[in-house]
Amino acid sequence: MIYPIYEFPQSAAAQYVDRVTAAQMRRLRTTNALGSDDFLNGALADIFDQCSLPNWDGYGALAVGPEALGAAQRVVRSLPPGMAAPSVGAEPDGQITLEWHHSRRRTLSISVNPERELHFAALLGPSSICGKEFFYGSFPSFLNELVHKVLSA
Amino acid sequence: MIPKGPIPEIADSESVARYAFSSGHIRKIDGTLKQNAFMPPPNFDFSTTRHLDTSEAELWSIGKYIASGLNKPLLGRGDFSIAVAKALGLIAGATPNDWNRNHASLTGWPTDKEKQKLIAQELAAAAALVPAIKPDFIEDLSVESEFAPILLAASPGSKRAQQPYNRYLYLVAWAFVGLLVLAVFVVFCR
Repeated sequence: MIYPIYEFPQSAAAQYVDRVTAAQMRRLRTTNALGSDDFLNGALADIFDQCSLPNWDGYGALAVGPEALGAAQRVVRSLPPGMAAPSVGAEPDGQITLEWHHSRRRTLSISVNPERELHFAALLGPSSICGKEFFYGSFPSFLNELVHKVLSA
Repeated sequence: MIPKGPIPEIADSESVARYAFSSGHIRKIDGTLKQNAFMPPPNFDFSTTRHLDTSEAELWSIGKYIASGLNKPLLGRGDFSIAVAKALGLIAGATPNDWNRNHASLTGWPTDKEKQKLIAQELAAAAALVPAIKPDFIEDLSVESEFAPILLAASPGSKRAQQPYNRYLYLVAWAFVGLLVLAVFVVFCR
């Protein structure tokens, strides 16, 4: 896992707890009820296949590279268990997006870039919000709340 | 298609079409367009086609012409109003080219990625997806259009449009099979 310095487990006991937790999380993610890893990894692979050549959209889009795929996989692995699976897509600048969609005006899109930046924009009924969060190995809690806000209509 | 002569400026009341060639741009759950379809390209020149003086068949023909050049399927088009784009701060300009006098560009995109995404989301929310039509529709293309020959030739449906008797052959074949089955049934019933 990737941590910011202040979150990295320092002591042997903390590192053990971290290892066990990570292993349990991996097991949880493979279950039918709480996990969507297989589905999302398949969807990411599909997007990579479709968009790995320049001009994949017919409008001069940049190719989705392996580093963009790797960044998206890291973010997908960090999604809290039980969270609704996003649909994945690609953008003309070669970044991969994760989208949670409820309706036309309740939707959230997050672009993952290899520099650990998560650019997001959401329509929340009559209002909207956009911004940038950094990814340090765990899915930002603000975006977690935003996902719930978009889906709980 | 806009007739020869000076190209009129784009009015707020106009609608434009954005063609979709990538399946990842269309949501399968409700058949709407994703914001990804409305994100600006790397050169920030967002390509659209004006509806002005254009029949439905011509709009599809232009899309098919582009699709055939890209060797990609035309999946549909997103229609939206220029007024929406202008309200979001974009600048609409007529940029006709050799084969599409209705071509228009949306420029003036912000440099911040998150702001681009928000504009793209608003456009996607305002756009109506029109799924790609059957190739036979190309028969309705006005032959008076100066672009008709080139667009017809480029259309994947053009061959079928030139051979409508194929459909009647199928009908006759099926009718023959039906009669044969009926005859066999009658013979066995006796």
